[in-house]
Amino acid sequence: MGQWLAVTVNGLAFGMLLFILASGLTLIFGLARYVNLAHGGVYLFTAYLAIETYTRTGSYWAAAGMALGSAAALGALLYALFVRGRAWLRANPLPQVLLSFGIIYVISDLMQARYHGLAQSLPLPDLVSGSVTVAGATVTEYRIVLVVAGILVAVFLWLLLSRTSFGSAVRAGVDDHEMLSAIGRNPELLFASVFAIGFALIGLSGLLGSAFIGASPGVEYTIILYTLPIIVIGGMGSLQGAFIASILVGIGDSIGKAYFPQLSLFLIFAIVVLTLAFRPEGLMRNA
Amino acid sequence: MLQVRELRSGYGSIEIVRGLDLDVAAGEVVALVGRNGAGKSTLVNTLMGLLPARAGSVELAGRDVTKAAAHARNGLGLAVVPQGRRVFGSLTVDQTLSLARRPRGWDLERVASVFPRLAERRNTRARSLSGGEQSALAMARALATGPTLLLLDEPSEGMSPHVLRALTKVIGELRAEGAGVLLVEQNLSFALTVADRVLVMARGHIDVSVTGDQARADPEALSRHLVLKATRDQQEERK
Repeated sequence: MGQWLAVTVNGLAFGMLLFILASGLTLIFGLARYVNLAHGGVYLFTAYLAIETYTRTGSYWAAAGMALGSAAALGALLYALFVRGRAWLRANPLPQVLLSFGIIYVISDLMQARYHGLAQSLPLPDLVSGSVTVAGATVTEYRIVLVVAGILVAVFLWLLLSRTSFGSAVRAGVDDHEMLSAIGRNPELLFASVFAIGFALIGLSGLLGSAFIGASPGVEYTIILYTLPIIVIGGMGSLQGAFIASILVGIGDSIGKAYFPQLSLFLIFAIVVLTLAFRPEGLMRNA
Repeated sequence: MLQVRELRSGYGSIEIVRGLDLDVAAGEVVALVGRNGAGKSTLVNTLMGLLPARAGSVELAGRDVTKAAAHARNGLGLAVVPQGRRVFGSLTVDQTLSLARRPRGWDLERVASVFPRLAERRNTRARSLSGGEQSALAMARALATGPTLLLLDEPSEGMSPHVLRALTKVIGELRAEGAGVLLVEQNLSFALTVADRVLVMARGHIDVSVTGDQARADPEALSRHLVLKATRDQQEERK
């Protein structure tokens, strides 16, 4: 019982980290219909940046500010440079994927040059560096932090999209961005904001993940390997779907690694195959 | 209020609006009629800034907006009720009107005075509304932006007589407040009930311009002209 509970909580923690990553990807796809696979590279960049900022300043707040701020700025910059005014790019997923991979290669090489391929991780804050034992299961406090952070991000996005004027504009833009423009809203500004928020969420995952899975060469591709199944299982553009799929993938991965490690990735992609067979559009069909 | 000179626009290699001149004065209701394919909706999209002009100029309240984006034109008082309604399906009536609302625009109370059904369904998502309710919402959305010039693209299409009466009332109120209206219609009888001036569009430009009184005095002549013109156009297209 204790081991099952520990495996489940560990999986939930990893799932929530994946959800924060996938939510950034989903938000951008949901509004702009843009497949941003560069999130793996952005994770790596923000994880290294958070670690370096903390090493230099000793401040977690500074590390958080740098990770989220730089990711948001990068998102707005990429939008302005490559996406804005390029209707052909928005209409074609293949060039979006190729552009994304180009960005990952650039980021990977820059990180290699700066950090010489060294694996690094952010030291845990003292406040959450211990562990708790519940019903015979010992779980680190930081994993509980990840679970809470994932739930808070889900609530934040739900409130943002359903209870604010910005959220109404985003949903209206998904429905018909020409009519959104015709009622006086600037869709380009809205798209840029969504890119910035989506990238900031990836920056948050880089910050939180830097103390969990760390930053190391290759992690940018591992991230893609885990987030793509989430998008497929949850349904492209659906935040609710991404939330449910993240839990499934996180717990599936944790169970696989604990009980049959050689088949852990197989288990995740088995869920993908089953989803595609029975619900090809994913668990949730609407954004 | 609106001055259009030598306007040209189209899609791909096909030019649909071909050197069109058009004026709408403050407090004037201009009806633009023409057969299918005459270029009416292309003109509306170009005037709204949803389709770029290839040549010519569009002036709104004395300002050149030929290259301005749709949101900038809306900021200058231009609003559109598009063909096919194009409501935001995932937003409720309330959310739609809040999103569109400008200080000078219509609030829910005023909208309800003309379209009471919308107030009753204020918390319903647009995709769940009936066709007539969606037409009313598309109208209310444009009014919420506080237009000084309203473009209506085939508004009577699929409208119940009840909503059509409400639309007539709205046009009357806008005219009384000094706003201009460009009504693009195939329903000639509805256009004639509200128009101060009637323009016939054919092959991408204005072919005939008559006053509303002249058109109402002999609506058959206008109908005959439209049918005759359509037949000639088809014959020319076959050649």
